[in-house]
Amino acid sequence: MSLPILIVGASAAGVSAARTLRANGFSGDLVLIDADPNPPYERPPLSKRVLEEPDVTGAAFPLLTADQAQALQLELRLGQRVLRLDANALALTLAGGAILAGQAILLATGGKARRLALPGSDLAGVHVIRSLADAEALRAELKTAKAVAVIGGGLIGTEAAVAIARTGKPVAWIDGAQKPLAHIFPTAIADHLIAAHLEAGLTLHAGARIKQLVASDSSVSGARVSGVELEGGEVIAADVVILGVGMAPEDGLARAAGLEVDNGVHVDQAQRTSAPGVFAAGDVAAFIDEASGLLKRHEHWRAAEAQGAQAARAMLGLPLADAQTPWFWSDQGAHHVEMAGHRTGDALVRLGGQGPIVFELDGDRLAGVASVNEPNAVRIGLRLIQSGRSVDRAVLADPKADLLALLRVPA
Amino acid sequence: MPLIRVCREDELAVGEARKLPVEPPIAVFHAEDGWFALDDTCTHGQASLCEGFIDGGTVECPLHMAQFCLKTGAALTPPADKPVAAYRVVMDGGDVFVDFER
Repeated sequence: MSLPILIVGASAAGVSAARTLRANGFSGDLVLIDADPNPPYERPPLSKRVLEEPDVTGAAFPLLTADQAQALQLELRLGQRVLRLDANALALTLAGGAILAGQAILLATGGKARRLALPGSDLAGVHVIRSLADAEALRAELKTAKAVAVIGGGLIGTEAAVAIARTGKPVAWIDGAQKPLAHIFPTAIADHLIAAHLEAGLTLHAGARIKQLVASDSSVSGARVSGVELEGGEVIAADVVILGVGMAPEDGLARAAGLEVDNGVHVDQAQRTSAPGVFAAGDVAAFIDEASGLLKRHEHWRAAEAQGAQAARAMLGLPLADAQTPWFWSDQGAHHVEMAGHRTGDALVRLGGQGPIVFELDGDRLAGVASVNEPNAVRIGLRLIQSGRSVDRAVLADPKADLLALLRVPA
Repeated sequence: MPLIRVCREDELAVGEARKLPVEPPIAVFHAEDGWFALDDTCTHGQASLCEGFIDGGTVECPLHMAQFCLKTGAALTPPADKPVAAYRVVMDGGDVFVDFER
């Protein structure tokens, strides 16, 4: 009997790996392990739909249904924590003592939400959003919340702030940067979104220096949060506070096993770690980004899905997929934002559609594209980036010019 | 078999699509190699495929990039894992019809 393939983490990367292994004929045993007791679910709705819809459960957005798991002949070990990775023996020790040996192991352990190293960040009423349990606990407290503060102007913080404002709650949107979202998107996109979110009722505190989270009665142990105090002394009242301040890779298993780890488990193009037979994919995997030469992690759904599939191909000795041009989306209320490729600073803004489109140029080539509510412009831009063909700036900038024509002209 | 008229052949350029207001709605696509009709609502999210990007024999969901085969409705890429229904398109006298039978 040959040994199973062991996948740690039943989210986008892990499930994608399992599907790809089966789709390519792997017929051996396949074990999918996750500390989360819930059947595998999609994470994107946690910062949006779960907060807006009082009755929605994880069953409304499955990543892998029980029928699909059965069809794939997966052994699901949910609610089971992996305590130890033995990289030489290719074995995992589970809480409870079971030891599983495999022919290959995929670490798709994702990350944990960061908290703030500030007084009060562990008070009752202070939340993060990473798991279904996190989102459901937050939603339960939102029912009776009078004022909500969201700390963080990134994707999770912004999505959550907008979703909660749509339920009619007052929401303070607090960010250390002068302009939220601008570290992710081109300026014109960030400006457009901020204006829309302010119009929808968010109160923005930009450039905020947070001193501490204050409690309703600091003399009582277990007191609830009552506000966010800034360094100038101003207190933003809030009985629910959400920390949307990024994630840290869940790389402890790999670190303890002696793998190369530094802000994520180091992987190559085939998702191979420094230990033979051990792979990593998704939020936990760190790789050298070709465009910048820097060590990066792609904390996005599609990257996780693609990396999981790539690890599966590598395990089976199949040809690898070409490196993917980064692409991700964010749904912020009625605003669907997409970005592909990377920013260069040589930005060209096209207006006149449903929202701004920004093209980031590298000489006469397109390097990046982003839009609000103009997804097809991003899809065309993605193909232009991948083709490497030269583009006509006049066509990109002219809202009346057909972007598709850029794809149709002979290269 | 009920045929629903969509439009004149010259009303939709290649790469364009139109939504038929039946319940649930049907999207009719004019692709490079012909006309195709699928259920309009993506099986992953609540997106309208007639607003998607038509590329060769596929349409790409405008929200999260799941691709569907225009001919068969098969879900070709995640995040969708269920197909959409496909319908026969009938051309008659310069008009486009969908053979609408559920």
